[in-house]
Amino acid sequence: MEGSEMILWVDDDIYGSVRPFIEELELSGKRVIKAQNPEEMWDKLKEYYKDIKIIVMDVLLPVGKDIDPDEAQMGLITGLLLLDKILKKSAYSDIPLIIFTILNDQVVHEWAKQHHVKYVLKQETLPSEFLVLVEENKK
Amino acid sequence: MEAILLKALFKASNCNNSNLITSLLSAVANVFPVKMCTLWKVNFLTGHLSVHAREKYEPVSKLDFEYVHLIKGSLIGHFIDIIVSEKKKYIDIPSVLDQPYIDYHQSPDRVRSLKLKRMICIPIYDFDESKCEANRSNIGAILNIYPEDDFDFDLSYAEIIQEHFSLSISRSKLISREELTRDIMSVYENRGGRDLGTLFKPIIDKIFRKYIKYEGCSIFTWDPFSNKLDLVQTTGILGNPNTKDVYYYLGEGLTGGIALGEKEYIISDVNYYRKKNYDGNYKYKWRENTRNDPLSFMAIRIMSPSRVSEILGIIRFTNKLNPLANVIDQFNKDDYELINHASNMIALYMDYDQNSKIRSAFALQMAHEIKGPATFIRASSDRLQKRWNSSFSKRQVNSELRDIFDYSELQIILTSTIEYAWRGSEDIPKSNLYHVKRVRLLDLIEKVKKLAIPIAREQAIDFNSINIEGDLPYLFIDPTAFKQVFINLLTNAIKYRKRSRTERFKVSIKGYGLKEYQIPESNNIKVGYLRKNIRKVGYLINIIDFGIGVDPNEVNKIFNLGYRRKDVLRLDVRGLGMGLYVVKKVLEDFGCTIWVSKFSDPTIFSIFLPNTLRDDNYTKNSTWRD
Repeated sequence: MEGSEMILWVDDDIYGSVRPFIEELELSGKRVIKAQNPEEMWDKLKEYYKDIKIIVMDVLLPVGKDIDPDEAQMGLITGLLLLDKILKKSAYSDIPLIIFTILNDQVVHEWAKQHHVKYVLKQETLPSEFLVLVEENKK
Repeated sequence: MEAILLKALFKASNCNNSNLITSLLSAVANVFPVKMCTLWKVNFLTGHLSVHAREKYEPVSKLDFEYVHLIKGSLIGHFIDIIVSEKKKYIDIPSVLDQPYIDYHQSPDRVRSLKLKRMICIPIYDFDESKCEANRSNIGAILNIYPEDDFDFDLSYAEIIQEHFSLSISRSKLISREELTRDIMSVYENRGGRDLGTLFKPIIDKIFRKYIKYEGCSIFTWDPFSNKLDLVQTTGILGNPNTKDVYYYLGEGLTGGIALGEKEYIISDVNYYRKKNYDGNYKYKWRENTRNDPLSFMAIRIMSPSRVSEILGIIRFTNKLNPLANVIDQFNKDDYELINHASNMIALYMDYDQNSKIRSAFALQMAHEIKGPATFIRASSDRLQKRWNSSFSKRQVNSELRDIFDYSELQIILTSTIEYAWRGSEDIPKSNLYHVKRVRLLDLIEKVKKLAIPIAREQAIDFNSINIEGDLPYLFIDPTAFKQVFINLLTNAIKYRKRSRTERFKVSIKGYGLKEYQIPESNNIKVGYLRKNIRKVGYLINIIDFGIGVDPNEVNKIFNLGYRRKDVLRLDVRGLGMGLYVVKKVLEDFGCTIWVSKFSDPTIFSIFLPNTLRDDNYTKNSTWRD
């Protein structure tokens, strides 16, 4: 996998419902770096940010150690708070982002629109379609 | 004279509730030739007497003992002892200046200056609403009359006064409750879009003050996610801190202790209490901004009406003031009952608010939980279809099909959990809810273990760490329902495992056949539905895991519908809080018992299955069929 395009995927269900999507990306030669919570995400981002071509982010995520559960609306918008923080860090702010979630929510819609970030629903997307999206949006 | 007294008292009763007792006392003072008279409320909780109404004398407030003083060592205290021990209807002494009365008297100067001599003391008993008569074992107040020396006082007068005051005080309490209910309802009805904190403002600033005079009041609400009591409204906190900085953790200080239900709710001297209970080390974290130093204190817990033993908040008061003067008074059981009544109303509103939020969060969460496996099945099927004849090997095809099967099973299990949680009630016969078959428990649990594969894989844990052993016999049970029991216990063990990389996931399900078993009381004292002190023959199954454990403070809530361990949110946001509720419901329906026999390291959930499940006779009983 060395030299292959790297994708950081943040999803607590990374070994579950999104597995077919990840396998599809891996079959096409991409390397998927997995993070299930905010702490893992920051660790991986710090380690690989230069090589990461795109970040795929779920919205409903555990809040981890540092995020206020109230602010994250009990985890309902943890992903948006993480994306906000990523965008504010200059080292990471140029990495393209995709919101990939089951949550069909107006708040997420508005956030994505305001920040020009792709908002894709898992239940309406097939692995092959997702591969195309990644290709179109990667750095 | 009796007729005149009765007429005057009836006339006096026909007034505004807040003036009722004053009006009655005034009637007594007008009918009898009195130099002065006082109605003292007796507060056995703190051991104090407080003036409730007084006629023909108004001392300055710096003479605070004229408004509030201890029962012990006082003249009234002495009279109460006599009334109780000698079963006296009333006491009539010729001269209060005589020994030992004058020694007991709190204000001999007043006795002399007002030329008081003869004294009549009439006990007023609490009125028992259920029996519609005064409860002669509870003295609620004392009426002291200093009449002219030659006044011919009769027992019948004492009885009329006793009866009328007792009934009126009781009536006044009921009216106060009703008015308070109306006041709070009106605040809520005019709520508009205001949050609860804003809603509480008129309640603590105006409404409560109509019934109790006090210097400080604050309302804290319980934040279940950060496990603390947050200040939401106050008459003022010393130092004017930022509201968000004012909070107590459970068990922290007096307020946190009251939230735990461990401390007294009415305290006569809060400073002395702190010194006594905290060895002088704990001053206070936050206190109300009061004119006088904090002395009297009362706190009332706001409990959830829908979620058993769940606290929603605390209303606390500092420094009650006497109704007649700005003298610090003591909170009493009437204050407690009145505010508790208000807190029940407030709890209903808070609960309704919370339930609306919980309902929408639940709907969102449920949709998320169901769509997860469906998304997997959809995506996997599409991949399989597209790659069937090209890039997939036979092994890959098999693996993909296996995954689809596992996720379909997971979806079925999940929807069944929802179904079991919501269907059925006490009114529906169990024979309609369950389909009993002879099933080997070992086989059933082995099947459940396989069902947990996708869940275990999602969490990247070793599936072989689930160990099943021991006596797990053939039983007559509903296999689908019992699958729910074990899948939920198993998935909880997976979800609530320790997540550090050094901790290896391990769970055991062990069965034991028992000739006789006494369900231990010490470990399950908080789980209310256990049948205690019954020796039974049957099977004990222990589900043992080395996860994060059960919080002993929350053990009585874990089987409630919607309960999720709040601190888990940092690690896991999924789940519906239905699992253990369904486990309990199914087991209870089959006459089984579940309890937490060890909170952590390892955590052990124990299930007792009675021998009655060895055959299907129980399904022929009327209790099962009707």
